[in-house]
Amino acid sequence: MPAAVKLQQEFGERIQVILVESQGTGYEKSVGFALKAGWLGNGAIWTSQRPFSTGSGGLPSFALLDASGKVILKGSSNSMHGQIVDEIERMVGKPDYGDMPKSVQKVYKELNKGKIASAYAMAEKVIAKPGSKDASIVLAAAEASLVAVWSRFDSQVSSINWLAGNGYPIRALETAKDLAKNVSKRADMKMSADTLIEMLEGDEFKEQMKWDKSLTKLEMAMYENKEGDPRSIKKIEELKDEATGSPVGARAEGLAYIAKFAKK
Amino acid sequence: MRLNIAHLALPAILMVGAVTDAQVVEVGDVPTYNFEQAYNTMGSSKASDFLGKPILVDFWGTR
Repeated sequence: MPAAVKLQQEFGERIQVILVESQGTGYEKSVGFALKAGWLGNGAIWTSQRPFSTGSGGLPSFALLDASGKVILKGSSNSMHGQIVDEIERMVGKPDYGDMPKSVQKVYKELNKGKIASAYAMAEKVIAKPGSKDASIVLAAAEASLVAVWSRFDSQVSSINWLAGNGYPIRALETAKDLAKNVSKRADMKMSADTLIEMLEGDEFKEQMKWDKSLTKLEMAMYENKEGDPRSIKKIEELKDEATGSPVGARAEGLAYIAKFAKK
Repeated sequence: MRLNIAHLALPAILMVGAVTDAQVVEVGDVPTYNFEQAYNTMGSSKASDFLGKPILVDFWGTR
């Protein structure tokens, strides 16, 4: 298993690993290869499109980006593995806020805990009373943090809509309920989250919830068993037919399609 | 509230526009990128979607 996949397993949702097949194998074949090897099902993203180049001639190579999207390390994945782990541990352990005013750092710390409404209130408080020392700098940083809070909220709403529209209604509902808790002190945000919950708990999603539960079990079985687990794949194909025309049916179709490439 | 019912043909595979793959990045750069095809994106496929957490981009080969 590639070391990068192990890092995704170890650090979970605190990091995102993107594996880029770079020898021209092609998208379907490379994902099928990973499925056959038992490397899927851990949160890592797989593609065969190079988002950029590290300039390195050999494989495996890597680029490590911090939470702001800045490249902080690049080179050979094997020889620099220890440095990669050290940097990830540093970043997930204690984010670097640089020279950001302390009052605004608190906003981001709250936001990183997922407490959106609380972070919003803190940012508003700093904007109302930026203090007498470096007031304009504090104010600008606080206003930027407020934009970040709204952006996080919008991103969560988009994510819920994507999950609901792409065959993951159970995860969408769980995320919407978490969001509702985290924005309960802001009426406008709470109303949006409640609307999503109401939609996902409605009749339209009842059958999809059932299919999603079955499909997720089959998907995990497919990932856990090398060669893609032919029995699970057969059941996924059956579920695809049962749920045809729905987002869960389309998700099953996508899984069955990729599974074909694990057999080759 | 409208549902974004997109990408129904292959649900776990997101299709969006891509930037050039020839862009060589250096330490300190903030690259922009997105993927036309990627597996398990869960709706995240461009650089801005990943802000807030460290990203490890690993280039590997099947051969």
